[in-house]
Amino acid sequence: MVLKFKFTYKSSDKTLVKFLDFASKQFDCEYKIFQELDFVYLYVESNEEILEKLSESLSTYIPMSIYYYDIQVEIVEKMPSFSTISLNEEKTISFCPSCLKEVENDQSKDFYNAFKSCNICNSFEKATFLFENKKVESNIELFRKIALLINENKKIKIKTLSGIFVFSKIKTLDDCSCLLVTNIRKISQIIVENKTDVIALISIEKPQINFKINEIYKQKNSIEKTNIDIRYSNDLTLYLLSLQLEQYDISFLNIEEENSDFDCFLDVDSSSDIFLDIPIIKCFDDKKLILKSNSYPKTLDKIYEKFNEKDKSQFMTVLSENHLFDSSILNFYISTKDDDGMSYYSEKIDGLVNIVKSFYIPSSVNEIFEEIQKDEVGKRLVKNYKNKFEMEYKKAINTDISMYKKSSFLSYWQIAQIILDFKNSILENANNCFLEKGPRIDYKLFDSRKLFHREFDYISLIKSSISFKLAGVDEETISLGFIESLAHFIGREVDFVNGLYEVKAVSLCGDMFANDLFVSLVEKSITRNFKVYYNKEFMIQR
Amino acid sequence: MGRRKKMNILILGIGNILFQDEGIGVHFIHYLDEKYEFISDKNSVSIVDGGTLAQRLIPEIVKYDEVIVIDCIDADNSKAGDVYFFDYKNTPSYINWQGSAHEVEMLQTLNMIDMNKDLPTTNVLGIIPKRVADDTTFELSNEIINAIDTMESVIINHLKKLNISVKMRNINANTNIEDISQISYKRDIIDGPKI
Repeated sequence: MVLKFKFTYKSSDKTLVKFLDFASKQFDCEYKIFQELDFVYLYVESNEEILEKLSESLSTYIPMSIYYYDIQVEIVEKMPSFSTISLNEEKTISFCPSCLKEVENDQSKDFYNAFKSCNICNSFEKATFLFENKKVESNIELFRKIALLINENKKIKIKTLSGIFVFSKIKTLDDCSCLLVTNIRKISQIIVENKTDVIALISIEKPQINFKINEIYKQKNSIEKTNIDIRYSNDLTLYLLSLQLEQYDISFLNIEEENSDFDCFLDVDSSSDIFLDIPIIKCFDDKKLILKSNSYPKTLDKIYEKFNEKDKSQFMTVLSENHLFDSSILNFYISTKDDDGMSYYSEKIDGLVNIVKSFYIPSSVNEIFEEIQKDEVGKRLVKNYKNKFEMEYKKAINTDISMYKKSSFLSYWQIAQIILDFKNSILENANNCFLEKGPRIDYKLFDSRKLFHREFDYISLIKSSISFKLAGVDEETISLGFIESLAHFIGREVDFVNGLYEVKAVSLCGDMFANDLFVSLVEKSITRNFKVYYNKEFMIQR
Repeated sequence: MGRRKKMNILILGIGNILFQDEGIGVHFIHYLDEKYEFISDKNSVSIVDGGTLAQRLIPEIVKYDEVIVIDCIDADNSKAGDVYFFDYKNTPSYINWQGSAHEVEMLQTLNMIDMNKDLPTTNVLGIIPKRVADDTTFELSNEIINAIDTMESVIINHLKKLNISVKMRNINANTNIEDISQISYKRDIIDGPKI
């Protein structure tokens, strides 16, 4: 009997393959592993009893992964003819479930051995700890001592697989930028818990994730901060220390950089240094986007570097990661740091073209009001604004906007914030708005009959927002309108371009797509006929 | 006899809600959506706020079999609040759409779709606005407010002819065009696009 397991695994790395290989070796069976596009296939041939055991225990051998989404199992007639995939890969893998079992077992020779590793996972080789410059063994006493020191408010510098950091008890969250959660069961003490995020946090990749701080904690501890970065122990040193911190009811540690003040240093002397990447990710229900990482195929860097414009470089990486070079794709690159871009790629037009010209960013508020007043309606609008919002008008006219140079929607939003005298940024306002729908802010391109190099009509954008302020709409609702209307604009452009040329799918990149509200509105605005692609292992904005 | 094909009906509200009566097309579809449920085993009714999107509505319009456009219009010898209902392809000669920029754009949009032979059966429910647009406000004129009953009965009768049952929802005292016009910019449509 042959079982075929099909794992949806959106990475080209061999981490899952290695674990499947290890798991399969534990059973009396023949197996083959194969990886293609978003899938890893495991074929296993044995008798019914063994296959049942293997199926039942597979989950204990395979750790969770940020790239893993789904599994399907079916019975097939025979083993495939191809040979199994090579396991060679340099990628460093954090501690595996089997090694974890060993270091937690007080009967094992590796009990509290922080340097335990195996064929799959990595650690420092031929290593020993140096505590206060003295060689010490990795044992439970050492970790008890360090936990005690932390509980006594000492700052401990520790060499980990991801570098050297200083760890200490939290004094106030407002002084922390990143935390290590040492007791995952207590994570909701500080943050608003979300199952997807928490599962990702303890996955084999051990990423860093930004969480929202919960209101109870904020009020109880008078915290101003709204969000905090959190990661979980990504090597056995931190993991074993976390176990010992539990007895002091410490569930989080503050993480500071190597050059911060410290009281004691737990160093490592080893034959060679290794480095374990800490990816920074953003989780959604149906996908995970990488915000920062070094754990991707380096060929993507070469692809990225082929273009000078960041939007096109990034677009090329999406095409490459999703094998879309023979397709027709419309890309939207929307960024908080770079110039935005909208471009169309098709094999049929031999490459890539810009849908929009680089945005014109005005240099002063006065210039914008002059431009608006070029027609009668605009004259009336500015006159009404001047009369009804005299202070706001004067303040806007006297505010310098020359620092907003990026050709991006964000620059327009920042300028609009000044013109409309909003207290908070448009993104912040929109995220705080409880309404389902905002007013329709005008996002238009001039010359709608041609496809390429069209110009964005920023005056209509500003005019419509002023009109809604004049009509009495509040700051948060108008801001939601700015975000929602951009999402609708993207949806309409997809339909429009598809009406003239064929669009088979849409790709979205740039760090604006890490914003929950914006990405959900954009996905809702794009007709269901179009599949939406993102980067997979590569950052959504390099 | 073959089975009758399902008919997808679009009720499309057009207008600029920032300029008083010129937004009546949009306010009216929100009012209809708030007040009524449109039921049919065979056909579907979709309500869309077209605003001032004009040509950008083309991909939406062409998807339907029957379209009812609700917009401001102009007509010879008319006064504010007069209501007209006509087949777009047989527009009476005394009707014109020259009142404001968005009306002209809508006419051009329908013409463009028609030239491409993609225009579904299209009827227009037009109303003459009181043109006083000088201030930005969601307020409507009394003439328009008084015309709502007529507009409502015209569209309901037309939908009934298309085998659509019209059922009143659990409405309250705020289900009137004056209150709806204050919130239509942020109101989610219940009976949105079905296709």
